[in-house]
Amino acid sequence: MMPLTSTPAFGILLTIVGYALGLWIKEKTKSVFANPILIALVFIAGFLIATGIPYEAYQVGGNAIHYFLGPLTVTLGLMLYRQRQLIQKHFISLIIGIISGVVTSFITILVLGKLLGVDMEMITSLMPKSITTPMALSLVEIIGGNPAITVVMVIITGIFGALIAPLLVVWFPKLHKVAVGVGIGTAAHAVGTSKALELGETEGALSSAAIGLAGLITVLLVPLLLSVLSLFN
Amino acid sequence: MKIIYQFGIILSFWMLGEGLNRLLLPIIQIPGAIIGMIFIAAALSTGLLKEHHIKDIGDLLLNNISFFFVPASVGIIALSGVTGTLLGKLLLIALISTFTTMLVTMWVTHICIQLRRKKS
Repeated sequence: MMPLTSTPAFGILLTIVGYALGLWIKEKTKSVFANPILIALVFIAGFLIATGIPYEAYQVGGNAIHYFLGPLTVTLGLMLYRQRQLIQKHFISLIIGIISGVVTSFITILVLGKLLGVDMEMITSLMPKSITTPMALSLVEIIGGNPAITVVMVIITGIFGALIAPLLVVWFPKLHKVAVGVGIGTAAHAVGTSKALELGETEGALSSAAIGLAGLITVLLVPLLLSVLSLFN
Repeated sequence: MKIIYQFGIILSFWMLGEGLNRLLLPIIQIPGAIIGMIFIAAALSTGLLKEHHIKDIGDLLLNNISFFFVPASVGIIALSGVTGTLLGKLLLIALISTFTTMLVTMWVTHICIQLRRKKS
């Protein structure tokens, strides 16, 4: 007989329970550090390790949820459409801001990676960290890296971003709301955007717009920057 | 049934994007889902597609966006060939880089908005 944990229901149910727990703790504590994804991750990972259930068993159901990231990305087009006026009005500022962010991400990963003695495959696996998972996976395929590392680092980056964003808003209260949104979406994709939506409607809208634009600019720019870099090596 | 039809529309745009991705492959690699995203925004802007055609499924997915990232994050326990030290380094890089990227993007965008406002 197949173990109960090998059914898709197991992974899906465990994800729902972990996520519900995350939302509940977030609601109870109101803390910026109570991120539902992070709590779900700790709960599910803890559960699997404690019970000795292999990750592969979780993955059967987990993948069923994971595959929705494709349609989710397509649906972001609806967000772009809804915010088209705000995007049009600030388009040039938005693009300049996002390009500077994409280049900053590239340089910081490269320099820190070299300083810490991380090999190039790991560095390229980190390069797509700030963009949404489906785009990050496409990018890592182009530039060569470990997709498993990329997927995890993308999520971790999003969680970091959701934790950092409220701090920056407190430190620099005069920052334009549009700029705050663009910064969150560019650095921390959809996971950061969930925090931006809590900060306000404008922040959330621009953060959503920045997910797609930053993703697109990253996918186009990073392979170019890497090939320029290889000329010097 | 309505939400199923709407999901079908989303998937059609995704397929369209994947098709174009393959056509463009010799020139440039753009993820199919991203092309689909741009096409949906374009179709809505031109009125070919109305918001109510995809509104329910769109809001369902977008309002629960974090949930769909959970399985990918659990992948951290199955990273093979990554030692604790390396993982620590990767996390440190991600933290510093995310902080710097967010800070730079916010300020550059902020300054651009101010400059353009002064000009007009």
